Amino acid sequence: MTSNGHFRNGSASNGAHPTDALYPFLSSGASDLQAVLREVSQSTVDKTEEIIALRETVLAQDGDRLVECAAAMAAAFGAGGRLLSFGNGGSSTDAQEVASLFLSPGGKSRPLPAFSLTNDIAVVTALSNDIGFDVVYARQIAAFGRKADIAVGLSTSGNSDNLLRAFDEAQRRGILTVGIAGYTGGKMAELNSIDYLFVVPSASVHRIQEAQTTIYHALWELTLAAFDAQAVADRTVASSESITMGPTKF
Amino acid sequence: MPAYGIDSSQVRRLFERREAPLRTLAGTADQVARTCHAMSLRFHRGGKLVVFGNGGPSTDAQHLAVEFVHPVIVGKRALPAISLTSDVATLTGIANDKGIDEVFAHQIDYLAEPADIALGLSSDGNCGNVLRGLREARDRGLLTIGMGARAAAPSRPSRAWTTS
Repeated sequence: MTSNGHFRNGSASNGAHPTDALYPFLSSGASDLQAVLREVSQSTVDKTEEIIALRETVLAQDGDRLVECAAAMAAAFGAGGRLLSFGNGGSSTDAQEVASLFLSPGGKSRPLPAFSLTNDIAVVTALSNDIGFDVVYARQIAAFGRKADIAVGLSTSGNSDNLLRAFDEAQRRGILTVGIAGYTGGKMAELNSIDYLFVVPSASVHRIQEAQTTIYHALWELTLAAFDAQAVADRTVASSESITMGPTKF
Repeated sequence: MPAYGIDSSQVRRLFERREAPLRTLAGTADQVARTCHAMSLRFHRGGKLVVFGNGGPSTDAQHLAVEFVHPVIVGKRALPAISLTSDVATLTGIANDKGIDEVFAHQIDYLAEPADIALGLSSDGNCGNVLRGLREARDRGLLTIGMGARAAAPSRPSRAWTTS
């Protein structure tokens, strides 16, 4: 552990901003610094306990459905589908990470086609300016989406209008739809256009996003495993057929 | 359950693998708190947070920046933060002209100020451009913070290396 010596550089001023309690260090004086450090340290430990417990809840609640969803995703990739992901704010960065996990996983993992609908700032601002923010993902799905594709939308509240529109558009096109939400699922839980909806039951947006990260990392690993298992099965079938049919088949 | 080549025991193992890093993080809670304090002093001085990383961590960099600029908790004040991974024109331009190792250092050179905080993310701790960015930041007097896996911690140039 490194010691950085920054604590000698003076204490923070004692402003009376109403949000001081939310950023403890911005208002703390030297006298209570040790107390604040202890509080922040304890808060860090508490948060790790919360996310460990929350993941346990998600596993118990959705473990089997994660397997089913990953199998469906693997089948879609096997049929030539691509993964299209979307979300707003922090969830837009998760959408980008989902796409990147599949497209450029690194190491020996198999790359699969995926892209995020949040990346092209020209498209996002053009659609927002000309039509409205509600259509930024639905219109891209209308432009790109094909039947074998997979649409993955992430929201903490489950209420983002542009996600709701995107799921409806995706389902109209026969696309496999996967939703990842928080709290009690919001309006996403009321849609009938989401094939697999995973809801992280927490009241903290940050814990929700942490558990959502785990959900899509799990989906990625399981999808690759299912995809490879399917590829092995296909090869086995193909080779047994070739034996049965004889070399003249080829 | 039908045979998919995967099963729920695999899901459990996958979730279990993710517990140890959190225990490790909890074990560094004091370091996290001191890092937060050092960051708060920089924000008091008018500094901004500058975040960077490659691949998945590039999305973490963007996520971290938006948490500060637009805090999700109502009433929390906005603090200045930028991600160096968002400007594709600059990233590809610098990568093409000077090489990928310079993409963050170049932006720090022109966008960062001495009061700022540089936060570099690298899972293995070996990303050349993250290390170059942190060195550039340190040379310019920024507070430097690295985040990576525990094994990445030793002998890195940053003043705090938080594991996760």
